[in-house]
Amino acid sequence: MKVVKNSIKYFFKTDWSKWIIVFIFLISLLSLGAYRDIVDLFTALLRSYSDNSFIAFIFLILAVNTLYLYKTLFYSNNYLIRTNNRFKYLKYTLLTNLIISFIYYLISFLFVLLFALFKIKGGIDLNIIFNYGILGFLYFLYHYFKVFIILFVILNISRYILLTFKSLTYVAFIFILILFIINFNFPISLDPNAIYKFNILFPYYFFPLNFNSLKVDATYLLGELCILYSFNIILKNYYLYIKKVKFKLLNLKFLKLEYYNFIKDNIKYFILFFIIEAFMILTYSFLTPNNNVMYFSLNLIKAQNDIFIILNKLFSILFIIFIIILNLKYIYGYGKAYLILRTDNKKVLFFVILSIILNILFINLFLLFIGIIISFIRGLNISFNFNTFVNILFLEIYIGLLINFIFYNKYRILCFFSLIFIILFIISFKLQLINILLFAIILLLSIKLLKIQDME
Amino acid sequence: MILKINGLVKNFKNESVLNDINYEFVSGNIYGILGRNGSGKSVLLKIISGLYKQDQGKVLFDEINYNDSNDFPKDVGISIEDPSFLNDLTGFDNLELLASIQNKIGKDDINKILDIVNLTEEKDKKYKKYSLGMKQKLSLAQAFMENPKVILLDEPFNGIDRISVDKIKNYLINLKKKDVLIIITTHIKDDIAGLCDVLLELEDGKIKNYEGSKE
Ligand SMILES: Nc1ncnc2c1ncn2[C@@H]1O[C@H](COP(=O)(O)OP(=O)(O)OP(=O)(O)O)[C@@H](O)[C@H]1O
Ligand SMILES: [Mg+2]
Repeated sequence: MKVVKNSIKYFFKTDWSKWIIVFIFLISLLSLGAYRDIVDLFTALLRSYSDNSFIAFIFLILAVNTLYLYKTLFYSNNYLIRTNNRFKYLKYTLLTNLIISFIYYLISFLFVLLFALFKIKGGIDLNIIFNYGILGFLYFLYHYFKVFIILFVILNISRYILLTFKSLTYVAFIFILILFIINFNFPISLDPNAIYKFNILFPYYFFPLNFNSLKVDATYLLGELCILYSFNIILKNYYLYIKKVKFKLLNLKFLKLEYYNFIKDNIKYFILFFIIEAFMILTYSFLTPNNNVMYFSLNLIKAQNDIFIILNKLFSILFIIFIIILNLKYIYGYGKAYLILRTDNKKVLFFVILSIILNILFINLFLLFIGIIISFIRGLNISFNFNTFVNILFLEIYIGLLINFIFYNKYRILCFFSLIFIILFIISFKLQLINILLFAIILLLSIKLLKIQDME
Repeated sequence: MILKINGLVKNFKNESVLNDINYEFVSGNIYGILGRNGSGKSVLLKIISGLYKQDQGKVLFDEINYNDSNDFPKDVGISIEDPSFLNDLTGFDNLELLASIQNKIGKDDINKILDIVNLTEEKDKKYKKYSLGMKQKLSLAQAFMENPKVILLDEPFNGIDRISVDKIKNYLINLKKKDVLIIITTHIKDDIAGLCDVLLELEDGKIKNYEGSKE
């Protein structure tokens, strides 16, 4: 595409683009700190690109550059209108931004390589390259591109935030993402013991180097990409939605009627759920002899290796997903699963979001109730962790809203997989990661959705 | 070609800007829209070109409604307020970059248009070194360059010298003869008095024929 080529050509003529290279040089100096007591070149390179602060700075630079691009090159009405269509605008600008970011990323590699060669004692030992280096090289290559892909997908999310909301939101959002990347614990839970370590780029098991760890890593990468990509889709549609689609009048009466039917149906399923859940918990408490720590449903999170508990968790999550889909079916009327982001009315939207939140709240209170009753019957000691409860409550609500937002779109399979991965993440105790990521994006979306105004 | 505007309403927050605009613009004419500062002239042009969305009503280009989808109307040249060119590029490069989006015209066409707005001498100067009038000329060149069928100009003659204005006006009259639809807004009637076939006035969110236009 000629415009992409031209944009890149002209972009690199600006003074700004040269300053960015200077900053990348300075940041590459940071990576020097990672080279202590390392003799192998690829390990050194790998360390640099696994260093969270280094990656965070690279991301920051790319984000600032994106901001610049959208405030200059892509900003003008003259550019926008010539694309004939907002999809095309998004496509051209995406491509341009991708290539420019990648060029910068390559430049960062050149600097890092330079410093690494300079710093490593004895230079490159051919022996090491042959015995250890090939795998190291492959792993580095994989890791290098992985980091870029993830950074770029996140960058793309931030691009939609920039286009959709005000610049201030963008800055706040970038701040949150940076916190992520540098492995800060962003405490939602007030209990210091409940804060788990998380790391969005998962670089912590690259030692010892073997293909097994590569496999695990690749699987996680896939999961991350699925989740991030779903956010991309949501945000893109949301952007197009606020730019163009209008609201029409709502028939509230019809909606109320549907909602009564829905509650009636829900109660039926609640009872079913109650029975299954009670059965599971009872079985569990009979099977395990010394269960003085009794908890129920999703909240049995501490006992990791117990298949039974994992099954129980999965069951609860699937049930919640089921309830939400049921919810959608009703609220959008006659099982038509209306497209939420194209829904005709903001009141419907409000209604859906509210009912999802209420539903999930009810389900959890129900579970709490069941747990207490069963504990009384069995004479068990209950340990109720309020923070975990709230965390999980939020998590479920996010999942609910997420399903709600992505339910309609044409990438259903992808959305399905991201949900599966969310579930996997939950099982692997990456609770904080999910919570914060979902919190940042979905909260923004829902707040904005509720008070949609003219965005121009 | 006919540009039909039906019951157009636009509010910002609680401020009503356009309130039930109905009008039919026919190609081969130059329309002038007069109005005070803040009367909504720029907003009207932005809605026509699809940059803003209306609250109610329709904008139909030969019965095609672009505004409800994510499309922009085809073959529309606009020069509306803040043109935002790239500071670090020359005037020519700026135009070339924009032209490469649709890839319809080449360097020669760009040079031709620069000549029409009297900007040939400064075309290799960086945009940040342009004077107010030069910036305005570049914005006009950009609107004219791809042979659009509809041209929307917001205060086009701001800061432009007499000689260039006359040249541009002649060009517009030529375009009109080639069946192009041209809409010009301004708050200074004298700017466009001799040029326009129809003079309109935007007041209190309504559009009407300008009284005393036949002085
Ligand atoms: N993006 C926006 N957000 C909120 N209000 C806006 C926006 N754009 C325009 N307005 C309001 O709409 C009204 C009309 O603005 P507009 O720019 O169309 O006026 P105008 O007729 O072009 O004035 P001028 O002669 O000064 O160019 C103004 O009161 C302005 O405050
Ligand atoms: Mg104006």
